[in-house]
Amino acid sequence: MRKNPGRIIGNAAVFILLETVSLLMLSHSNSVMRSRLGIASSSIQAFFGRQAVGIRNYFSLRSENERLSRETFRMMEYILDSSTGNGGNCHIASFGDYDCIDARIIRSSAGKQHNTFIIDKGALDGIDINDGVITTRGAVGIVEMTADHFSRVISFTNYDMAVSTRLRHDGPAILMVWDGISQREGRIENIPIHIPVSPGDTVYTSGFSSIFPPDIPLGLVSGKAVMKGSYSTAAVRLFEDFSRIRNVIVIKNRDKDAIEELLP
Amino acid sequence: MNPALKNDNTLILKLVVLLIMQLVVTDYLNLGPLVCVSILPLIIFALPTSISPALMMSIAFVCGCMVDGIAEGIWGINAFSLVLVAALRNFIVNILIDRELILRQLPIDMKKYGWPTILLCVTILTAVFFLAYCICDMASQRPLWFIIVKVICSTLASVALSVPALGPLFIKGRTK
Repeated sequence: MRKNPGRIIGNAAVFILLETVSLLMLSHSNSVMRSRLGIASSSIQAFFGRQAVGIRNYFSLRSENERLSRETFRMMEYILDSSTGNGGNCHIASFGDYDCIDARIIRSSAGKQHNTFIIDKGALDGIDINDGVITTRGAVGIVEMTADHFSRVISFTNYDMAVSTRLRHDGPAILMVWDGISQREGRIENIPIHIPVSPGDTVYTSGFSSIFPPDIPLGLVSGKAVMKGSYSTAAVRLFEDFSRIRNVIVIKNRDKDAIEELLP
Repeated sequence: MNPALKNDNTLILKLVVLLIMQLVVTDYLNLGPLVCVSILPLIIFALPTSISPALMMSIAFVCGCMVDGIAEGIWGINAFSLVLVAALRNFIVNILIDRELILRQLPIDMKKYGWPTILLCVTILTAVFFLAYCICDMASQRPLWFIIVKVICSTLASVALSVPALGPLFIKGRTK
């Protein structure tokens, strides 16, 4: 059978067209997700997520209860420290400018490079895009998109995500990113070589982003700093295990709009 | 509707079941950051040989977009990878199975061509899919070894998941 040049060109045109459309969607994935199409697809995910989360939670009730009681204990510690004005290890004071909304994760992706999760609170509950999401063990994400009754959050375990952190209380602001493999490992990058980094150093949020309050402990430096030119990087063992998160707290900076107006 | 699809309602049903399985797998099966599982290349490979490449790529695009929108959460990643698989399917079939298959629009029959050949085709198409998928997902962000290991692990896991579906899809005697 002879090959029909017209058909070959037609097939090639369809191929190029579909691949171009796919790449455009991929490169504008964030804006697509914020469009009506993205909200519709997230609504479907949230619907199925709500059905699945009940089953999943039932089978992890025991460990979840233990975790919740530990978190309650930690929160009580924070509150007591705050009320007694003990500022040393207390971070609740930093929440003075922030409103907190508790939420439950109803769907999450954990094994991908672009991990996100969907929470059961949305715009009608007061959640806005770019609100921070934390647990008692650290910052876990930023709200990417909101619908009426749920929100989609970019997880820290997403390579598009970086958190502005500080090494110890007195260190410079540095970015922490996910290492891409483990659910409990991050990496602080671009540390100036004159800054000493030791295993066991605590990494805190810097508070420079207006999304997260300062001084939320995120993890401990778990290895020696590795030199990369005039900067170094170091692995961080996170306090939060991202594969086990069920409940989160959305934090809203009351002054965020005013701060962003002042930024260039 | 394409005559080949119209005449084989059971095939459409099987492919729809596989697509639903894929949505569930993408949504709920988490095997860690080094392993993704996808049976989408198997769906494309199982499409009738009488379907034109343009229609096959269009079906691939729609299936990919469905998985992207409903389960994956990143628009375009499955669509891009699956259209590539659809574009290469006839080429792979011509090389590894039989050139006559596409020309005469014969069904892909595992009894006739043997399971190793069918499995090899599925493996190659799945590897192509994950190569495109991983490059779209993390090119320049993760080291090369990570991408290679992920492609290999994901291909092996996906082929293992595809094996039980090979019989119902490619042993033609069963459905008649």
